[in-house]
Amino acid sequence: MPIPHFPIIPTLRAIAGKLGDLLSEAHSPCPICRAPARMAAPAPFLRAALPHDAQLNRLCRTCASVVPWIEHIACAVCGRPDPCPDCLRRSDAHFIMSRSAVRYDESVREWLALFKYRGDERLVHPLSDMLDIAFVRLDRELRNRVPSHRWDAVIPVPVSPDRLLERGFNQAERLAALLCARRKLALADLLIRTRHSEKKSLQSRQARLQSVDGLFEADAAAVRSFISRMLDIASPNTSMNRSCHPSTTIRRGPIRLLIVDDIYTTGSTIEACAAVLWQSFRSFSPQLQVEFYAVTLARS
Amino acid sequence: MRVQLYLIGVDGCWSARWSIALEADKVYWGRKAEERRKVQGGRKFGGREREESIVMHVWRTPLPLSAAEEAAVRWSEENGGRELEERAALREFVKAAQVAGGIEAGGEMNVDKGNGRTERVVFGERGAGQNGKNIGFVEEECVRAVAARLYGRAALLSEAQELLAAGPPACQAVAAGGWSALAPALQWAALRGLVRLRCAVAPQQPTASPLGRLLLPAPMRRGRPWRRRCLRCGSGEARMNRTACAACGSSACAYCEACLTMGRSRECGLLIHGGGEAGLADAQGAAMSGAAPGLAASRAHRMHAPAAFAARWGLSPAQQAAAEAALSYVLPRLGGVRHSSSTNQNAPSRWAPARSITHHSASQPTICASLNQQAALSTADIPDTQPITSSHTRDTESSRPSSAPSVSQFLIWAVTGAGKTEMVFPLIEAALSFGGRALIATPRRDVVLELDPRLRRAFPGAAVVTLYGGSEQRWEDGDITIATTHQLFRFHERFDLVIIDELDAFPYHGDPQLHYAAAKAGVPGGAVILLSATPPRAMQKSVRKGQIGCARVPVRFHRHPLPVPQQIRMPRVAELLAKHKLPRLLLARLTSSLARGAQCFVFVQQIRHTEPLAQLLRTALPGIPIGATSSKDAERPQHVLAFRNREFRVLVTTTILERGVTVPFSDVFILDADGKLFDEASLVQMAGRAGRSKDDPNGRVYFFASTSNQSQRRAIAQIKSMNREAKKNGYLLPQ
Repeated sequence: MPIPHFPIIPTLRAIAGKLGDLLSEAHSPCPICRAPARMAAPAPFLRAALPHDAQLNRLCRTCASVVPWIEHIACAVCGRPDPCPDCLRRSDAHFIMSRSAVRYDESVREWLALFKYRGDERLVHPLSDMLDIAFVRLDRELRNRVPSHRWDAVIPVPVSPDRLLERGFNQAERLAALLCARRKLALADLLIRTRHSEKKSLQSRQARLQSVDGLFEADAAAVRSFISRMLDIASPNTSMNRSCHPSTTIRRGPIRLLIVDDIYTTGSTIEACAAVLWQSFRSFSPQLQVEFYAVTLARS
Repeated sequence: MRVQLYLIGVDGCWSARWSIALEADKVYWGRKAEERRKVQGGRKFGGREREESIVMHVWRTPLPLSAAEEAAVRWSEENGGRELEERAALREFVKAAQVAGGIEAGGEMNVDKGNGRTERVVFGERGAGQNGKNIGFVEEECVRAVAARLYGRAALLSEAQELLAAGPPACQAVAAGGWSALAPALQWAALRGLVRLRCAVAPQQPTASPLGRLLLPAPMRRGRPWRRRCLRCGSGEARMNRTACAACGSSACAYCEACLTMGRSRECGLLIHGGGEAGLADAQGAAMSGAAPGLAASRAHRMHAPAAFAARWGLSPAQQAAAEAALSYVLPRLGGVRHSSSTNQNAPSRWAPARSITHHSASQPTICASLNQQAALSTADIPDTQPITSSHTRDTESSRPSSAPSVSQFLIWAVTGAGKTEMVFPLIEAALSFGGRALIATPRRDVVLELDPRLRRAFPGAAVVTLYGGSEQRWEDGDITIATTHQLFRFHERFDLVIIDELDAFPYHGDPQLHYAAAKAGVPGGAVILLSATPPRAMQKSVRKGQIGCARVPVRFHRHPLPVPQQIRMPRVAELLAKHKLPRLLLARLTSSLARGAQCFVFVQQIRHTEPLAQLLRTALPGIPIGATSSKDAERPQHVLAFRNREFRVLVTTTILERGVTVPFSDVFILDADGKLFDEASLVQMAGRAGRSKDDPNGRVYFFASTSNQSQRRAIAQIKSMNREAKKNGYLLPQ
């Protein structure tokens, strides 16, 4: 190709154009579709829940209009917007409740595919903002019941080591990490995935429920050190702890753990994670009370 | 991924390398030492036995790929081509690895011993084990098959796996064996010089300005962080995104955002460049078997005159002249490429060093030189921060026979409707007759699909491969490849003839990645043909300066002059829509066009104007079916088809239909012709929709605008000058 020449006037004009683009916020590209389109005014609930600079507040009009927010919850357990036979059928769930931000429709499927399979990690920001909305709703709900409520740790659902190498990242961990950074929560990797299941989207409901058997294990060493840390904070023996966190010196109530994943389909993944962790916590310290909650980005 | 970094020394000549399968390297160097011992065994070097050995220092911990690459390049930047003591070389090696790997030196350390970070391995010492001599490590056949399969490709690891899995049985076996089978095969092929393993996003030394070079001495400049560049699409730091990576353990591993749609190119990911000239020569049997037998036969009579190729395609005089001019550009390049690879063994080809190591158990200086050369290689062909394409041009200059003219590309500037495709056929025929591969790259997928049957008909003996997103021929090898431009990222120095269609159209225009991809798809010194009806001004300037060869085709295939646009004053479309009134002038022209039976294109600037304007026209012209379409229209193909079938008589549209649409018997109405979205090129293209058929060569073109601006005047001047040129050369039919 020829080396382009730079006539001065078009160059100046181009620079001026770039400057103009920089100055006008409206033309910053949409964090999802990357089109330099005009941004939509964020919905009031977004403005209330998210900090001003959140990327989700800068979506273009098209993208903002297709986010399938879950606005009414029909199932109090899993946060599904429709009546939910799975939760009725399940009698011995180890998690208390789960909330999701959006329905798993075509556009969410596409965004998650871009993020997970194609590896467009820029999408982690708007997607974690969506997850944040689910978290804020769950948190508010709990605070209404237990005003002194607080979270002890956030646990991302792991992917198998092979997939981690191939993909380079764990989508749930990335989403959870951003959530933790913003909400000042502790991230804890307490789970191990022993194998990778078939692609979930190719499985039937029954197969899905069965395929999680033995899929996860609790990381015994991590759980033990986590428990000892919890008890450390709870026991009022160090003056440093008392001065820094006066409210945490005496532990009231159970340990509350939040499991994070990208999609909630039948709840079998969340349930399996909660079950193995519950087992593991019981084996280390039977008197400890542990409560499991979950937030996921999408609910199908 | 993480790779193993090592320093290898042959008689005081050292080079730093990395390996994805160190055991392969150990076997390779073991064999090398063995060969050398045999050659020198006869001669007596009293007391110099120690120096005959090959010494390797392996960095114990595997490093992230980019860190290893950076260390190797840093080492050879500073020490390449020098003879060094082992201690000095090792000291420098440790330094380079620490800087590149971001490892703290940790105070006063004993670098002589590598501080326990390196491990010394000696090959070829008497009695020092038969290092892999009898290990059937990787089968020769297998490596050749893999190299032949990868020839001319630029494949990410996952793509290489798919490519091999779709290949001959030997390749399938390697692909099926997973990483443990693939890594040694690739590494072995790389050691043999049959493929090159690269870092997909490679570290680059920051270029210092002359002033900086003066002010900062080299040791101080060394500390600056190196930049990253995607070797697949040529994007620099601006398009890098750094994230934590589980595959290499780095907390800021860069990946390229620019070519993400073609698979993720990552700092710690492999990019496999297959072959090159020596690769072809080495794996000749396998690589050449792809050529059709008929073509091989026709290769016998080599020196055809340009006219001989151009004659049999039934071209018009103007097409014929352009095709001959292009052929006289193409032919020496095709001959030149073959010539340098097959006969000129002593020429300093980029693949020569590895070959000389492998094939001739050469004397000491040769190995010495080749090691250094190879070390220098890794830096030499990383394109620097200068305009990406210039490095390719430089390659071109160096490897071409001196008799060839000095232009690197050739532009066929053919007016709209000139029949560009037909002119390309003789060029492809010429390339095939020399046993070369030809590529046609075009921006649009529908053009790819349309060209496919035409080329299959024209070249029944050749294998035609059609590539686009989701193509089934994704991994096939062919003599003629027709591809959408994004597919070019997957090739590296594969094609002897590269034809780039509509280089000023949407994806190319202002997209340096595609230019980079197009430049590297062709072999160095090969022929690059550009096709355009409206070349950008910068290119026109290069043509005038003689940097690019050019042939103009000023007349359409039917040999009638181009319709010259007529300028008419009219208010802006936005005003018309606000007032719900259409000016009488516009309606009069439309009615007269409709009355003569023409289909009317109405071009507007904004997508949001299309439907309202169509509505307004429907009320003004009752009884006339009027359609509207734009890029946002889900039923665009149906609407265009309806217009072509005369179910719509008028179609209101945007620049989306400025190219590639041929509707016989049509007139063109461009509204808001002074708007900033219509530049000279797009005005010429839109005007080119009129009068394309032989039956109605004199279509009408109108520029409706409130003002006359430079774009309109230049477009009209360009059309008029083409008509003048056609008349002067006697291309027009006698009236």
